[in-house]
Amino acid sequence: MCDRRSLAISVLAALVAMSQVLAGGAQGQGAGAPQGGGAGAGAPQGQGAGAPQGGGAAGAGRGAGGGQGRGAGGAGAGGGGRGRGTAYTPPAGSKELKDVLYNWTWHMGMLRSGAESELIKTLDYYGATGTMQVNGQPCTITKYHLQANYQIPGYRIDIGCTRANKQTYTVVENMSGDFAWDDDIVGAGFATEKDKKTPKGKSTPRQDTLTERRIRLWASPHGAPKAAIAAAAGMHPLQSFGQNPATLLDRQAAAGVKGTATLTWEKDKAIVTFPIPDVPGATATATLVNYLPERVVVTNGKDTTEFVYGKWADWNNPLFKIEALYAGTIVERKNGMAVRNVTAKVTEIGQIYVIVPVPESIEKAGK
Amino acid sequence: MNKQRITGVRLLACTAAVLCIIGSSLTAQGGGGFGGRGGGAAAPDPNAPTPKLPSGKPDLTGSWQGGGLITGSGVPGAQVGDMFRRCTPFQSKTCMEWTNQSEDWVFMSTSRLGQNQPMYRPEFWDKVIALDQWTNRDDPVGSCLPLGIPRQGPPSRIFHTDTDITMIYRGGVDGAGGYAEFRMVPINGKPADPNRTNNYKFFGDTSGRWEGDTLVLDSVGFTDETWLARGGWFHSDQMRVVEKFTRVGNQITYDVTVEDPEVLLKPWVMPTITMRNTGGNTIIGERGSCTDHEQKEASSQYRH
Repeated sequence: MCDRRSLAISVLAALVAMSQVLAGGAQGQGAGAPQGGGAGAGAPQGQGAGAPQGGGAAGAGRGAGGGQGRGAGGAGAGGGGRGRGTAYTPPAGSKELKDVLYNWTWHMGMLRSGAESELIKTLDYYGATGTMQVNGQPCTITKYHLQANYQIPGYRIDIGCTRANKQTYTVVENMSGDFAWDDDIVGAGFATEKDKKTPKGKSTPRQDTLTERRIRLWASPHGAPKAAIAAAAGMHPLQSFGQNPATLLDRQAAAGVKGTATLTWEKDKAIVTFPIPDVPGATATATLVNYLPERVVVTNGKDTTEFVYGKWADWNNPLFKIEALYAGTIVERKNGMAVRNVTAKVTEIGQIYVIVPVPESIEKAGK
Repeated sequence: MNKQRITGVRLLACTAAVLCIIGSSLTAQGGGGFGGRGGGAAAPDPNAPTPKLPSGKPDLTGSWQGGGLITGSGVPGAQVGDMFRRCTPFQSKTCMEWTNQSEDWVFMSTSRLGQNQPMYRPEFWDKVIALDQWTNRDDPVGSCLPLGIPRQGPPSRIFHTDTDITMIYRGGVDGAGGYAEFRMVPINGKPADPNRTNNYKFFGDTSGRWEGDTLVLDSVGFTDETWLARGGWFHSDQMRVVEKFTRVGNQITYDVTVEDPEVLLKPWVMPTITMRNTGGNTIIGERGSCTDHEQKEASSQYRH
C-alpha cells in the first residue's frame, strides 16, 4: 500500500497538515534534531570509523522513487521541528559502558523507530556454505536454515550436511524456553491440517544440549548485545527488550539497580563481559571492534565456546534491505575445536513470523 | 481506474497511516479518532451507571474510542516512537531519517512486535512468512476490500436495541488500512444458518446472544480473502470469530477469540481492548471510493 514514494510524500502532507499541533507537542517533548543529527548525517558523534566489511550492501535495493521521497522528506524535515525525546547520542569517544552498549546496538541497526529502541524480535537466516562436526566427524553443510525468536526465547535450525563418506545427515535442532530437542522434520510432533490427530515426524528430547543451545542463542550476533544490555540493566533480555538502551540504563541506575555487565578496554577494542541468560555460571566476553563484535567467548565450567564473527553486512533480501547488520561468517569453536563454520546466504531481519512451539511429547518427557 | 487515481488512493491511504501513527497520542488525548469526529473519551469509570436496555441488559449504545490493533506495542514496557529514526553509521550518505520509515515500520507494527501471535500449523509457517514478505502485493489491506473482523477492530459507534445491534466502524484503523464499515447483527440467540454461511462474507454471518451481561457475537461464514492482522496472518474460510462485549460503567471490554482449526494449532485469544465512551456523537464519514489493487505495481518487499 505505502511504497517509499507514497509514504514520503504522505508524511510531508501529514506533517504540513498537523504542523501547528505537532509544534506544540514538540515543545513539550524537548525537541529539535538530536545532537549531530542533521539530515543525512544523523550518526552519533564520534562515529564513522566503524564502516563494516561489506557494508556497501546497506542501503541498496531502494525502490524506484526513493530519490523523490527523500526530496520530499528533506523539505518536511526543514519545517517539521519534531522532537523525539528518547533518542540518545553517546559522547564522542566515550569509554562508558552505557555508551558502548548503545553504540553496539546502534551500529548493528538494532535500534529502531524514532525512540531508538531495541526491537529485533526474530531472525530468519539461511546459510550458504560451511562445515560442522557430527559425532566428531566433519560434515559439509548443504542446508542451514536458522529461525530464532528472542522473545520466546528459542530457535530452530534445519540442518543438512554430507559426510566425507558421502552419507547425508539431517536434523532439526530446537530450543524453546526450558526445552531442547531434535526433530526429523520441521514442525514434527504437531498434527497437520489434513490429519489432525496424527502428529507428523519424530521429536527426540535433547535436554543434554539445552545449555549449549542457550549459549548459542545468547552469544549470537543478536543475542549477545541483547544479553549484555539486559545484564547491564540487571534484568533478563525478555524484560529489556523493546527499550532504548540509554533510557533503560539511566532508569535502572537511578533506581539503584546494579548491573552485572562490565567493560574494559584493550587499546581501541571494547571488552564487554556479561552473564549468559538462563545458564547459571556461564559468562560471555565480547570483543568489539568499531562497536561490532569480532568474537564472543563463553566460559561455562570447564567448557569454553568461542564464536567468531566477520563480514558484517545487511544480508537481507535485495528487495527489502533492512538497514541492520548481521555476521556473514560465523565460526563456533568448542574447547578449541571448530564445530560449526557457516557463511550467510540471506537473512530476514524484520519481525518475521517465527514460533518454536514445544511438542507435547517433549513436554511430557520433562525438563 | 487509471493509475493517477490509484496513486491518489495510495497517497490518501499512506497519509492516513502517517496521521494515524503521528496522531496516536493526539487521539489518546481526546480526539475522535481518525476517520471520525466527536468528543474525547471520558476517564475510565467502572462505577459510572451502566445504561440498560428495556430488557435490563447493558445498553452498548454510544460512541467509543479504544484503539485498534495499532494501539500500543503489545510488549510490556516497550518504547516505540515515531517512524523517523536517525540514520545508522553504516547507512549510505544519502540516508535521511525520512527514508527510514519503510524499514522501521515492520519492527513497530503491533501484530509483528507483540508477543501474542496466532499459532499456525507447521505446514503454514513458510506461507505466513512469504505472505508477509510480499505484503505490498498480498496484504488485503492494500486492496479496497473490507478488512473484516477481527482486523477491523472494535466499532466506533453502536446503536443497540433488545433485538439487534448496529455497529459502525471508522476507517484507517490498522495503520491507515481499512475503510468505514457497518454491521447489523440480530440478537436472537440462534446459531448461524447453515445456508447463509455458504455466502462467505468479510464480517461473517453473525448471531448475537447474551451470556449474563456480556453480549456475545458469534460469526462464521467468512471469506478467506482477509487477514487477521499484518504479518501474513491469513485464515481459512472455516474461521469462527467470537466477540464479547462487556460494558461496565462508561467502558466496554472487548474480547475476541479466533478459532480456525484448518490453519491454527489452537484458538487465538486476542489482546483485550478497552473501549471508552467518548460522551459525544462520533460522526463517521462514508466509506470512500476505491476499486483497484496495486498487485502489479509491487516491485519490492517493503512492508507496511
